[in-house]
Amino acid sequence: MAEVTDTTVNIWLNGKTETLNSSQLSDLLPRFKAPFAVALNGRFIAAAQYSDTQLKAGDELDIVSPIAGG
Amino acid sequence: MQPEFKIYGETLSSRLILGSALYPNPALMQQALQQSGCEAVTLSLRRQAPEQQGGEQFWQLIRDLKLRLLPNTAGCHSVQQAVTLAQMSRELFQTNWIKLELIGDDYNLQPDPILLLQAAEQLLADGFEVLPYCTDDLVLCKRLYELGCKVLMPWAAPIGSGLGVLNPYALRTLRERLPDATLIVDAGLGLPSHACQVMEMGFDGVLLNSAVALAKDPVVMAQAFSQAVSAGRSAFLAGAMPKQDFASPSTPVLGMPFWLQEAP
Repeated sequence: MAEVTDTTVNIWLNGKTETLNSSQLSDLLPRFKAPFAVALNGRFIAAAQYSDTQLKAGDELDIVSPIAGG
Repeated sequence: MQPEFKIYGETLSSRLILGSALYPNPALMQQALQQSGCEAVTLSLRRQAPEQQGGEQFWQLIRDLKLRLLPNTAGCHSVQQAVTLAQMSRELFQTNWIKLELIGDDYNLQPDPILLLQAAEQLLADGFEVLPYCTDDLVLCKRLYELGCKVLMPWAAPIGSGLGVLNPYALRTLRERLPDATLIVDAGLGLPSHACQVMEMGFDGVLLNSAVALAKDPVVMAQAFSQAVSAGRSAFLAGAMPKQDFASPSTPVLGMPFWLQEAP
């Protein structure tokens, strides 16, 4: 993980370490293509909760999209 | 046994449900799904990797087909994983249907019956319409049905094995003991004759993926499965003749020439 400063937060994003400049979940999401769904630390985060969700160091964030399946 | 094929109140005219994975390319997937006549397709969710292209194309192709979506929880090994994935699926795919998969062993991908019951209970309480992928164990299936799973999806054989029905007794018993449940055989079928076999037993439908996607010609195989499912259903409705261990001539014996009724 990158060095932590006062303004950054290190999380696990889709299984990889990531240093964010904002702890606001909704600041991170524009880099992902719709449609997607979100889980934080293994729990579902509904779209309506994005703007109220703060990330903290060590959080595990999963952002998933449709794929083929049987 | 239901006269119509219903999944939680939704009537489907085709009793074949196909998966969307493992096809040689997206165009063949689309053609196979179309030619099969299926009205529902399974799909899943995985981590989005922006560097990997193709996810958007898949989603667009699936949406263009205008099929009912049946998201799965494939790969989950815990109740929490399955519940979370189901909740993400519901939001993204806008459906209460969930094909609940909870794997208990990685060698044969056998469902974990204990965790399956726990997860099904949570999801049903949360408003999901749960289609559990389960083994052919009668008591497990009874418990799932009693919990409120109106649709059960027992395996015929391990996922992707193509072995066909390993335990016909168990499947027949399920049908006999759960006459009001919607029973869909899911997993392990390799040939259209396998699908026909379970439909002849009175199963309500068939769900498969590998047998079509991994065929040399997936489109033709999709058609073959569609025909087999229809044939098996018709045979079930028609009612098979009783079996017997001895021969009965089909041509009348009376009037047979070259036969003397009295000794010369």
